[in-house]
Amino acid sequence: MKRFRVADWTDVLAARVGVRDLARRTGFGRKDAEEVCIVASELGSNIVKYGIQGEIAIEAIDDADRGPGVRIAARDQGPPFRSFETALLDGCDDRGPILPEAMFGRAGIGAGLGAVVRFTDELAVHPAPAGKEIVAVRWLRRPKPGAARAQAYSK
Amino acid sequence: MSQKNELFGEGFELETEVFDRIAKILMLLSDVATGDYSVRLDEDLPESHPFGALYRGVNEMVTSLRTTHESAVAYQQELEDKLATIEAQRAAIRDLSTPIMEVWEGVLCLPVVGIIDTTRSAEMTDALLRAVVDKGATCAIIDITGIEVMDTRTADHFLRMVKSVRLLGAQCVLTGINPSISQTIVHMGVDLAGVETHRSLRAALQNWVGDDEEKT
Repeated sequence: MKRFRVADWTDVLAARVGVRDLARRTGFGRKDAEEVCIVASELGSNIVKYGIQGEIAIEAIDDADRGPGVRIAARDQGPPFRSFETALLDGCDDRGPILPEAMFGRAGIGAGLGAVVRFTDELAVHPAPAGKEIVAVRWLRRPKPGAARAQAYSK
Repeated sequence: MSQKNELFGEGFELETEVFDRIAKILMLLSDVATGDYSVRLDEDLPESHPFGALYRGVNEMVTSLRTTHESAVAYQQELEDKLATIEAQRAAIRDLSTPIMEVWEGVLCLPVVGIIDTTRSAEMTDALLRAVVDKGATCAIIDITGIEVMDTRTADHFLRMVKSVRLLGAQCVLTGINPSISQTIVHMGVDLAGVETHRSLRAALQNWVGDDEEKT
């Protein structure tokens, strides 16, 4: 397991490079590795934007059934999601839709977690000491792209 | 405390001298405590004087404290310099994440390398729209050669950025779209009318600059 302390944008950069490297070594193709990279970037940016500070832990995993994959855990010290399900929706934060007039000059477009959902196969959030932890898994052989969305939304 | 005629004189004189000398040591120590390492005790005592050894010891201690302090200050300075450098580099990296160059009169170029996530997409929109207005640009070329993947929603935001530039009265040209992103965009089913694209940055520049010269 490799950990990246995240308190600043450049830390996100480092985590991104680290996870791309790991994904490539795990056998991901270029395009897939870039997708994993975007996942780390979105989770890292969220730590910087909302989570005060935290860390990203990346790990290559190997499941008997699913085969190899990459697990990205993002832990922060920010408040819990008011609604994780809502936060996963595009154009929303954890309170609900972001109004178009509030979009310009905002640090994001409210679709970061949506991208995470689309690019991963398993996604869960749980409380962690002094904050929360989001764990995302992407398998080398995706069971069915977008599966994380189905799982997260049906909760 | 003037006389040192006798090493151990009368009781009273001795007491006065001892207090006097201790007071000097205390004063020196308080100077040292406030950071003044230049002070020293007068080493005017004979070798055999019991205070002589103490004075010399105190002076030596102050000297070595001074050396330690100086090296600590130097070290701290060095650390601060390094931190400043890191800070400057961070700012530079941050700046470089969305460089906007005026490559021709009124023609802005935004080369994008690395990855595009939602944060970056939002930042780019912000920076580009401001730059178009500030520089009175008539054309903005966004080059995404090297961008392998874009999330659908991010791509959507990206195209909205292109359209926003047009609302400001400038043209926005996309170049270097790779097959994977082109598929993403087409599958999103957005209206691509009015989104001008070119195969490469070179082609876009040639086209625009050529157009411009014909006009004038």
